Amino acid sequence: MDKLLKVKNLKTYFILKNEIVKAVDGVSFDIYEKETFGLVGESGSGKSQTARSILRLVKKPGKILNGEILYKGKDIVKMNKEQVRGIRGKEISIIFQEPMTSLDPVLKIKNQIFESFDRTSMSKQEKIHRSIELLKLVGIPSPKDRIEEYAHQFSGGMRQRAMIAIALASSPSLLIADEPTTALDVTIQDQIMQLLNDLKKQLSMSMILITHDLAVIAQMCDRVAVMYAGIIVEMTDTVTLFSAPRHPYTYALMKSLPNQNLKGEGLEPIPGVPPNLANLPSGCPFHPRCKCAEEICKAVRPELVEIKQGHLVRCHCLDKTSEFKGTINTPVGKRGISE
Amino acid sequence: MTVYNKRKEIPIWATRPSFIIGIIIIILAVLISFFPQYIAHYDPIKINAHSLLLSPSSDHLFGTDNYGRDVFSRVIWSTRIDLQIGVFATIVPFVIGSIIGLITGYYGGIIDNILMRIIDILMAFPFTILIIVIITILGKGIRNIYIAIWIVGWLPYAKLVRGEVLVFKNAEYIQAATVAGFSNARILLRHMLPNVISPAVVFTASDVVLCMLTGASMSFLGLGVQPPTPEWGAILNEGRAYIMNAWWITFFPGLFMAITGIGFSLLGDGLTDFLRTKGK
Amino acid sequence: MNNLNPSKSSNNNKVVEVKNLSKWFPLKYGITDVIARKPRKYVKAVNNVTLGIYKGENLGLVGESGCGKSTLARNIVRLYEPTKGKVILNGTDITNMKGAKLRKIRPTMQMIFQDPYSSLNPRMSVYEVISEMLAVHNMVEKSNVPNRVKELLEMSGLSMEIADRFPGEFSGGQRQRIGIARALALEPEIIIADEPVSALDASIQAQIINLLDDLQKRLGLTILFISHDLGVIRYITNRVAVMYLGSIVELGKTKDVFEKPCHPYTLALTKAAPSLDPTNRKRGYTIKGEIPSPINMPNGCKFHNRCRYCKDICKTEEPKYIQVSKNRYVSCHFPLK
Repeated sequence: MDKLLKVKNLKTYFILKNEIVKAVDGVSFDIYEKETFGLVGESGSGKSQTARSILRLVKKPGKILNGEILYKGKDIVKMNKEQVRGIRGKEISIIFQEPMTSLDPVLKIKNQIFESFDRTSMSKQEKIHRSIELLKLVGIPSPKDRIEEYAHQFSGGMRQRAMIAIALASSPSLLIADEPTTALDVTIQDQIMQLLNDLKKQLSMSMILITHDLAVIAQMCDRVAVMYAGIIVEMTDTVTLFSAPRHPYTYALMKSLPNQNLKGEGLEPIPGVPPNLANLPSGCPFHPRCKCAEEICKAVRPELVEIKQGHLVRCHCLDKTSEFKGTINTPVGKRGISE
Repeated sequence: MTVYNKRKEIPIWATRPSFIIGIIIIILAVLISFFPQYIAHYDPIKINAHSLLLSPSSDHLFGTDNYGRDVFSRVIWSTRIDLQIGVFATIVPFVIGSIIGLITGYYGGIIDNILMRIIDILMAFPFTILIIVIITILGKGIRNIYIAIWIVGWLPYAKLVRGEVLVFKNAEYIQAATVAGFSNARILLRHMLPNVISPAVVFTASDVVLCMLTGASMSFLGLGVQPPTPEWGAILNEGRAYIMNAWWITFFPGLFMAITGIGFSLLGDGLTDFLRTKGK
Repeated sequence: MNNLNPSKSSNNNKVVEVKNLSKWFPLKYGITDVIARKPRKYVKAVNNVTLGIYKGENLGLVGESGCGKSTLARNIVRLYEPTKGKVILNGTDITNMKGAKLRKIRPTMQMIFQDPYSSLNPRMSVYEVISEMLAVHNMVEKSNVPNRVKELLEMSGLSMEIADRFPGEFSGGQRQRIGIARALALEPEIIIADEPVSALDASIQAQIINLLDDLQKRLGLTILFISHDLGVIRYITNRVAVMYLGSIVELGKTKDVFEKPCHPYTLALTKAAPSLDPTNRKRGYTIKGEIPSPINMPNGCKFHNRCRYCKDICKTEEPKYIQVSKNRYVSCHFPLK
């Protein structure tokens, strides 16, 4: 598979009066064609800012200070505003968590879809036809009527679908989905997850899925990177992550979830609190909360090391973590509720 | 448990230059109003036929008016009256209006409806017109200026506080207070009031200026302070006829009004910052 | 988990009893509507709910947005007055209680709220928040207040050092702990927790869940735990009630309800919740459609237009809430299994 996007050592900092918040502190990953790549982490982990950096959507006082974002060979970081606009919403699209605030309340849905056709030479008829097709594609019933409606006339799930339609209007090769299902009810979340999976296959698209929900990652992603305090601490394919994680944070996160799949050993919370990004701990940012921490962890930030083909971990204590068992119980297969 | 923000030594809002300037102006104004006798050497109401319409000099810093009175002394002595009008005409509406807004916003229902209709009707008329009407009915004089402003001035406070109450009424900590079995009085005074009063407090700064100007306007129109009591508006009124040849009679009271007004406005800005950051 | 057997159905064992409770919120009805003789419209948030909460149990209330779980909780705690039906607290009918009488019994039932950022008065220090609770209800001698505040804070995993700080200086998890300390100050018998961990990060959720579990055991509390997160409900509750559009569609022991659901909606919910196993991606059946509006509810069974087992009777007749086995209630014409 070819590499669609290459992010190298991305650093996005927020420069405030008295402090510097290191939201993204040296992040590197590749996105291949036709894959779903997950970025998982809690609030403050840097996952959203990483996604926004890719499309140069970081708000002041945030700034991309370092790194390369190579899309089809060209570096997005170095592009001028015109060039970025040529990519944003056209070749790389993004959908957000809150469709109500992402959709324009005063424009009809069809006009918002039309915005994606700005640089094309489509006639009005063609644009309307394509818009109806898009709404059909995302599963909105009576699309002919609904393109004439406004955002507030749609329910939560429908709005999210409309936003997906707008994002896909220009047939992007990469879709970034920033917490697309977090604000939705469970049954609607299921529908949207299905929809995204189907669309990805139909349109041969790649997708970066950002979420804090490990279960969503498990259901949707091919590969995943776990972020903490602005850096990637573990990156591998999904099955490996959930069967044999190697970073103490990944493992601790799984152990702290009250999900039905964990054999009832009782919840094990992660002690302490997430770090202050303006005042990170020395060495490994996770060491104050880590059960395995040793002296070296307090002093030196570990490098991201490839322990196996495609499995990278950032930890000094890998010898201790080889016993971690993930959330998949062997034998693999029967889980949770019976069919 | 770790806590992130440390207590700062001098809050940022207090170090802003605009706030400091405002404080200085107000302090000066207050000092002048308390001790005019040490600053002005002439009797502000004593007529002196030998010194009519003198231009500013080292002897008469602001010149003299058509009665030979030292304008500087008159302006200095006015400060007390104008400041009094500004402050005392503001306080009563602030208290009354806030209480009304608090109660009607919290309880809603018929009282709220009636209140809103009253406010809508009264606010359809320009403030100054209402004041003039009331003074015409009650008669001239400083006392009636106060009463007129009190009758009309509580409206914006009620509106401001009520608006905030409607927002905070449904805040979870208010629900918590209800669930905790606190009396309505306690909830209103201890929990709602501190959180809804900010816009009203900020408005008092502008209101002081407004009241001062209203007092001055009424005096200017001859409806307020009666001669020979010195008051900025009154002095302005008297100086009108002499603008061409004795500009100092109108200029200096106007200048003092403007500076005092600016002082209160800057104070108000500082208050906004203070109230916004308290407890955060 | 509590070992208390909730099947003891003697009334003496119920802390709270809700009987046929409905709560309807009227929509704006202006003069033009009166003239045009338009019928009054209501948001029917809660419809004919009957529920008993037994002493010492952790009862879960689960459902998606608009199901009425929060409204039901607020009716129980008398933040609202029910439109119809009864709320009975320890044998006393509190449905229409008002004023001083109501304030007197309020300490028995306290609440923990969802949003850690608006559940604490931003202008009161932690000490003031908790000491006020103690003072208003005379929980301890005046001289003992500081000690008791310290106790309550420590019970919630906080130290007295933070007592002079204001809520704005704390993280979400810490604020929830303060909220818990506040709720415990009045020594309630029952605590209603309205989505207490939904707004928190995953690593902090576990801390708070454990804290609540621990406190329940130590203090013998009864808890009504409201959440939309099935995983949390499954972990912490003994029994669970599933709500849809203002009614309870299923009630029973948590393990049973989730492993062998009787109501098609419960089944759909459990299927929809994503599993942590990436090798198990067989979706099976995904429920279609969206939740109808509580203003214009469907006829018959409210779930019928999304139910794969819908038959004719479901479209016209509302199913009764019946007991299908020991401690198991369902509202469905054709309960599963």
